[in-house]
Amino acid sequence: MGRQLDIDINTPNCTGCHICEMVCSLYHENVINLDKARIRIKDKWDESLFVPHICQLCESPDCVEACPMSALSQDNGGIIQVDMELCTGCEACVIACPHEAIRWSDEFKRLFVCDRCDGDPNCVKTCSVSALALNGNNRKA
Amino acid sequence: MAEKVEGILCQKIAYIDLSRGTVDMEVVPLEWHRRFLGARGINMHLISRLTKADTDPLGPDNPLIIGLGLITGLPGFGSGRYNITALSPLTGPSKNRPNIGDANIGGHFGHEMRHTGFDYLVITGQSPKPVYLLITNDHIEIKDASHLWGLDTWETQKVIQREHRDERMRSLCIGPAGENVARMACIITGPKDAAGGSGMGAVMGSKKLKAIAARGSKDLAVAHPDELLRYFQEQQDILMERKWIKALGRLGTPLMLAIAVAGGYGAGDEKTLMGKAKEEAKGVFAENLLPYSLGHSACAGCAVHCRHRYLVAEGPYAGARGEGPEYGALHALGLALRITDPKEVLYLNGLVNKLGLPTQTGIHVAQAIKLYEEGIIDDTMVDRPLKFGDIALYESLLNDIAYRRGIGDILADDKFGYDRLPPEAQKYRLSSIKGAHNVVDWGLTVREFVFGQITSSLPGHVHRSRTGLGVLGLPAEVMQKIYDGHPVSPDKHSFDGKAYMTWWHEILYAVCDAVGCCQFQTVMNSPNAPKYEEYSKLIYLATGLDMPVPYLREVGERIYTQERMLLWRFGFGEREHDRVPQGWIHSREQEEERKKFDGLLDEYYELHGWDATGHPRPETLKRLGLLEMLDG
Repeated sequence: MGRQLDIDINTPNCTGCHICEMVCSLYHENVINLDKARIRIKDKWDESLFVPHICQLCESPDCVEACPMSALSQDNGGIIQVDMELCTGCEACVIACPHEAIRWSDEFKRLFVCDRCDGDPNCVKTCSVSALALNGNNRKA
Repeated sequence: MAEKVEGILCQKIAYIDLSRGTVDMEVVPLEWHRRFLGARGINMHLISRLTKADTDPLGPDNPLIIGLGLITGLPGFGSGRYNITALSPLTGPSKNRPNIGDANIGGHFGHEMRHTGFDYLVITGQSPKPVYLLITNDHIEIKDASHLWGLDTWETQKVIQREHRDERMRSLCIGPAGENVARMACIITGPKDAAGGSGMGAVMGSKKLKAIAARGSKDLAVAHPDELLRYFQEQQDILMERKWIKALGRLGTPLMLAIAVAGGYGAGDEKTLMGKAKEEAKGVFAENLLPYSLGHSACAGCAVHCRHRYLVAEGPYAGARGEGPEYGALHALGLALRITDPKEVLYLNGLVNKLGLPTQTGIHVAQAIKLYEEGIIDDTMVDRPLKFGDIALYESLLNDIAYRRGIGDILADDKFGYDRLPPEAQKYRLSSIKGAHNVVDWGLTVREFVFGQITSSLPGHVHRSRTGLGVLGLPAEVMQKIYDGHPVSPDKHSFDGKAYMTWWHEILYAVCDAVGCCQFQTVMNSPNAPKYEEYSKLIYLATGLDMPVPYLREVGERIYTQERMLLWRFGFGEREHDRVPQGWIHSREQEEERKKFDGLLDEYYELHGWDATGHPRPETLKRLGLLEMLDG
């Protein structure tokens, strides 16, 4: 069963503009920094491919399961909650995630995972090509 | 409100001397931003300070400057743009004398460099061995590139990424063309974004600089983040509803080919089938490229995505992959070479991008075939007959130019190569504008196109002022409203108001480039696109600087007149250099039209504050704070 804040990814549509990452960091961090974004676009330009990676709000999230410190939990909406007091940066969750959607930064000593921007994800709002769509709602189509 | 000096305004400029192996850096002076905003504006300011009339463009003293726009790195407004500027080895009065060189470029490198903390790289000297620059957070390293030398532009970028185990590392690099100092060589980033037209790749190659790799993770702090996010979303929603943007986002710049053919704009050049052979030209119309599209691609921060990712799946060119092609490539690598099969254009487009040649190199190939047909290049100079329609030959000649082999060595010298051809070759030379050779004759039909090109502060280059507003058939009152109440004829054949129109776009695009926005997203082909008002707000939200509309317009004037002074310094700033080239005149009627273009100059100069000879007046220089340029 789908969740209210499911984000569908339509990879062929992604143009690699990285706006989603910019607005994500701007919204959460008050700065533009793709390394602090909760969404990640892998840019494989030599293969003509741009691949979005964002938390899929799994029903039984492997990341939560894998965390040896119980630093991760999932709320009722499916959003992964991170307790940075408990997180040791072991990256077990990063390895476990099948969607490559949770990321540890050695530089910033933090985990980055999508929190759906209080229910109105900025990445979806600003994706001009519907590579990202909220709960099947292809807003720009 | 007090101005905040932080974030973008704390970025650095690095002076890198490849001869000595040194790097010096400082914060970009705020005064430069106030006077020139960034990118093209500051780059040209540096050129004016660091070069002389006799600086050898392929010598150690020619500074290669990478300069970001004031808001490069933000989401929206086509803010992936920046400028690469140096003295051009392609358009000077002689082999060792310079002219202005500059290229506005997109892709992702600019955004990445901004996060390293550097906004400007000024690279001088010449390394004794191949090197590349590694730009990371507040740090620059000159690294050995002997293992990269000889690689094409795609391989170079991928090897650097693999070496540093970082897929987010972005590089500017040269291919074999730049390494061998083919004068027209360009700099490439990603699959196709190019700094072309001025030989910037040749300058980079002359310095033995193979690549500049950037990877930054520094915060880009903006003055008003919440408001900026809201403003970006609001403006993007408006932008994406524009008809022009929708068409550009679907077809890319190739959409302009059909418009040009329908209008007969390419009728002047016998090698340009456009306007002369409409049916053949349709083979490479935008719609016929769509079957090879895998989807779109965009520069960093741009929602418009004006180029396709393409793949040729089968046939002799199976596996040809890349991005584009742009409108210019459809001409130079298509129609000018008598190609009307899109697969062949796509193949050659990928080839030149990997070699580090501009797509315009197709014109050189066409010219060589023409000279062979005329018996000026004979069989003793080539290893096979040169004839149109031979794709393997095109491939071979493009490689020969990049590697400077055989006849390719002569072609790689562009206009200077004619000295090594039989004297009768001279009469087949293409027209020159301000030293820029191989300027294609598109016909005199659209007056503002022609006038903007002949007066352009970047020799022969159209993107200092070109606009499609004059071919949209807008009502006269709408045109008048766009152009500050000044009457500008909506008829492309009319000369009325075209001096004002050209001047107006020159000033706007100077600001657009310096801000770091894409010209396709300003008033180029859509009258309601962002311009000064939006830039003013954007600059305030991003930097805290208060730059009202009249202030920005004066900055645009300053940037443009600064470039005119540089042209003057290099010997191309006289009235005679602003004339329609004689080679474009094919009839008595066109001779009369040429006089009318001449007639526009007085008003055009007056608008710029230049005298009747085309020299900026001292009072104009004083008003714009450029008096010191009189000494240089």
